[in-house]
Amino acid sequence: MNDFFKWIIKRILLAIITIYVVITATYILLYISPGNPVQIYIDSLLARGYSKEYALMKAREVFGNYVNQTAFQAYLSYINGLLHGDLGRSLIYHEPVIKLIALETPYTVFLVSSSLILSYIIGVLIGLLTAKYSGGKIDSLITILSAAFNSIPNYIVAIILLLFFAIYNNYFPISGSYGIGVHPGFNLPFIINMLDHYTLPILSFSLPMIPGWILSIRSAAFSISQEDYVRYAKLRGVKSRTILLNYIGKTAVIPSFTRLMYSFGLLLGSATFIESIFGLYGIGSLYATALTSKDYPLAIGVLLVIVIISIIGNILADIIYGILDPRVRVGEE
Amino acid sequence: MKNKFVISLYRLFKLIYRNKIFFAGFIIFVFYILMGTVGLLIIPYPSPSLANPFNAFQPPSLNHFPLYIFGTDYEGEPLLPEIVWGTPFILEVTSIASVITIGVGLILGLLAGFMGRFVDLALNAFFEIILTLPGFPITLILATIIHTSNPLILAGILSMFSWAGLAKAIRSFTYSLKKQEYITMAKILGLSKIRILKEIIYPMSSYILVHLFQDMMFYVFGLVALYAFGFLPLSNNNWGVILNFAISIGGAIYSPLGFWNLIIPMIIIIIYEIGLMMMSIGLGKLVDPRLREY
Repeated sequence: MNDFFKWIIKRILLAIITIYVVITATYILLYISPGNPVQIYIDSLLARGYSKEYALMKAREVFGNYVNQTAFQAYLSYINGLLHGDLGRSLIYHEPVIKLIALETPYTVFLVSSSLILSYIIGVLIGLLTAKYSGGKIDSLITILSAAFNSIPNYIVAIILLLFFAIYNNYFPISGSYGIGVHPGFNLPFIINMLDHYTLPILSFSLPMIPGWILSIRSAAFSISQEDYVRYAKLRGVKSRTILLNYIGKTAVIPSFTRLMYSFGLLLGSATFIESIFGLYGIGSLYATALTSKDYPLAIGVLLVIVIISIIGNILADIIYGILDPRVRVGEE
Repeated sequence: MKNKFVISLYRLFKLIYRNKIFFAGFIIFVFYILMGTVGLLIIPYPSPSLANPFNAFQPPSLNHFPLYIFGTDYEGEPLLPEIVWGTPFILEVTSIASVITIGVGLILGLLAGFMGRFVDLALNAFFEIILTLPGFPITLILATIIHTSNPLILAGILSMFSWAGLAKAIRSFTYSLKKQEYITMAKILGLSKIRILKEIIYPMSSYILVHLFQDMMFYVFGLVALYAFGFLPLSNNNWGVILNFAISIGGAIYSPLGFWNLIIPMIIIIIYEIGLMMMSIGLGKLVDPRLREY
């Protein structure tokens, strides 16, 4: 247990260093690199004929209070601002960045977590099925199919689903997180409406992920079924269903369960295309809008939030993995 | 010497031919390479002079074979030249990016595995940091800020975060190989360092190749998406730009007319991806004897 603790503390230290490095990198990107957004913003104001004082004042308002300081002072106040949740103001929405992110994050969390869970459940079920019929026709068919589907990116699936199920046939709404005249909140009409709007996005997010789960469960189950204790159980005459579920299933699912936790953080950042295609609310589409309209304070704010969430998700995944799989706790590292 | 080379080439082809999945993927891959090289000599360069506004959004047809086999876009320009001339850029960027990934991953992984001690500790921490970062949003912001179509820079941006997994795998490979008896023997026999390095890299080569094809696959996703969703300048010709124009200018998503203009480039992309995927699966089977049974 002691080793496990040490290991976790090492992970947390590493995570803090990572977050610090990322914050510094974004600072460099935003404030001191040549052609940085602050300078571009000031130049654009100057080009429109405003005075230098006015331009600096405006820039301070948008990017925070650290525009006209020395590089080091500015760096300190940037970090100080971040610690107080101050990510600057958005150029296009004229609101504090942190407020916009807080408003839009729940939508992305809903989209990503429900697609992850859906794909995971389907993937594990099919993966164990292939493991049961390992070596047969069903196994090779599913393997080939999942390999083929694994090579289709989610934005292409999204466009195809949108074309066939929303535009050529009106089965689902074309765009938006919820319909007009529905008030966001925890009430039945809103939830039903939202599920209607989110069916296609969730499908297009989860379908391309299923093959990955199938393949990893299949290979894990395959290597476990070669282990001595499984062979012994077979020889002893334990029912094949018990072997599949209790002996192979449990052990095969643990590593992929950690990957599930781990993917959550990483996927939060990759909802961008799906959210843009379906016109959903969420930090992904917020990020895309911020980037394409050169709203760098907003973009960097979203990026920082995504990075921090994925790093925390990673640590949580490691801890849970250590709890689930005792081999890690002994400290193989 | 020449004869030996011919024989080993023949053996390679026999090996490829025997592995059906790899062979099929290989044919697709070669077809795309031909499209990006020989195709440029056959198919005319896409120009507005080929466009005819009265022909907009035509489905694939055999008129003026082969010019209209992919139909036309929103301007009535045939899609075939656009797709053929859009191929080299995609192939170029994605292969440079994969080579960078493999190179960096291999060198750093070997370094960590070989040096051990402090170098290993530092490099491994570095790998961990890169692995925990969400590469995709960082790639997006870098692409937007740098905003270039220079293949080398784009390849650098794409491969920035994906070498760490490979490096970690190579590191542990090197660790376990270093302890193998034949390497110890080689050291005792006083074989040159380069020779020993060769002996260590050789068993990994198939794993590296599998990684190479998978990387190429993911870079095609990424690169096409960066263009299709307008994060990169739309000044040159490639599959992503075709999709972008079809969606943003042609409004192809919201009009049933635009179906072929959207579907054809997507099918072209997917077939290429499947080809790469088949090559990597085939190689995996070639390498892993447990999988070869099926």
